[in-house]
Amino acid sequence: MNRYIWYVVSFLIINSNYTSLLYSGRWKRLPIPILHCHSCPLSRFGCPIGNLQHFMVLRQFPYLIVGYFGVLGLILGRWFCGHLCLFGLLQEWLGKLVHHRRKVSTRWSHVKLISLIFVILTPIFTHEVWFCKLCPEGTLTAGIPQVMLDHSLRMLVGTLFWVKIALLGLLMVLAIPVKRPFCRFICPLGYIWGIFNRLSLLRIKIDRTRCTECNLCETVCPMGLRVYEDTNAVDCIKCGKCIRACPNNALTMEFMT
Amino acid sequence: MTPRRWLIFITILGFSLLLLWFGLCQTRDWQEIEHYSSVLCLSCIGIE
Repeated sequence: MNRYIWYVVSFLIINSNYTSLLYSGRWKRLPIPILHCHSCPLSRFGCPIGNLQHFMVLRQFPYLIVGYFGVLGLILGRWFCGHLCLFGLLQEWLGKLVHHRRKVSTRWSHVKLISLIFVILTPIFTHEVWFCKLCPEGTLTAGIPQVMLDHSLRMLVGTLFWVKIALLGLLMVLAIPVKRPFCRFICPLGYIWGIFNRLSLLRIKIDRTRCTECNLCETVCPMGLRVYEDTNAVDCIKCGKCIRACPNNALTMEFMT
Repeated sequence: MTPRRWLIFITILGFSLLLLWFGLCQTRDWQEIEHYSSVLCLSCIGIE
């Protein structure tokens, strides 16, 4: 199925609260496998990173969330980032504004580990959900709409809000010359799914006898990966663009092989 | 997948399912997630 259909379905399901109040029903028990702020006026589900931080503030082990990461990660790996995450798609679209894009070494992909450590440790020591405080996705889907919709919140806007806006703006500008910068260098959830990429049931396979290392896969890859050098790398979002672009049909997406 | 990879896969899957089952059995996890996600997060919005 075309991945844009997945994005549309994901958008409609995740943003399905059309009441004027923040949704607070049973669906909020379910964290979605992508970064999407639960304070978004339309949101019907919980954010896994927000909830993970909440458990860290409480200094409790999040059994449900860790188990959820393990099971979903082992099945699909980082597939969610390439089919459901709308923040990633937005960065991809911004990149289409320019033709020539700056290449950044894939060695930087493990920088996201710092972000993940930040997500886990800062709430334990400071009792604050620091990643949520700075999260640009939260600014875009919750911060801006909530402040625009609620007059009383507008009166409370302070430095933190403007810091968040500045970070979001910086990221959006960076997404023009650099491919999906948030997904590649910051997203802690993407890193969690990426860890499972090599083990997951859904995997990209390469036929080395057919690959001519023409680099067409790197050109079309939204994450800037040379697929033949490291198939199923931490940053591979399994979008399938490389498979369709390969002139020699050297790449295939396989499940349980 | 090689037998070694299957072994790692089954081990992690078993451990994850155990954690998931433990989390599902505990109402604490459900309640905490529902409670946290249902309230407007001022930190997420950028209001201190």
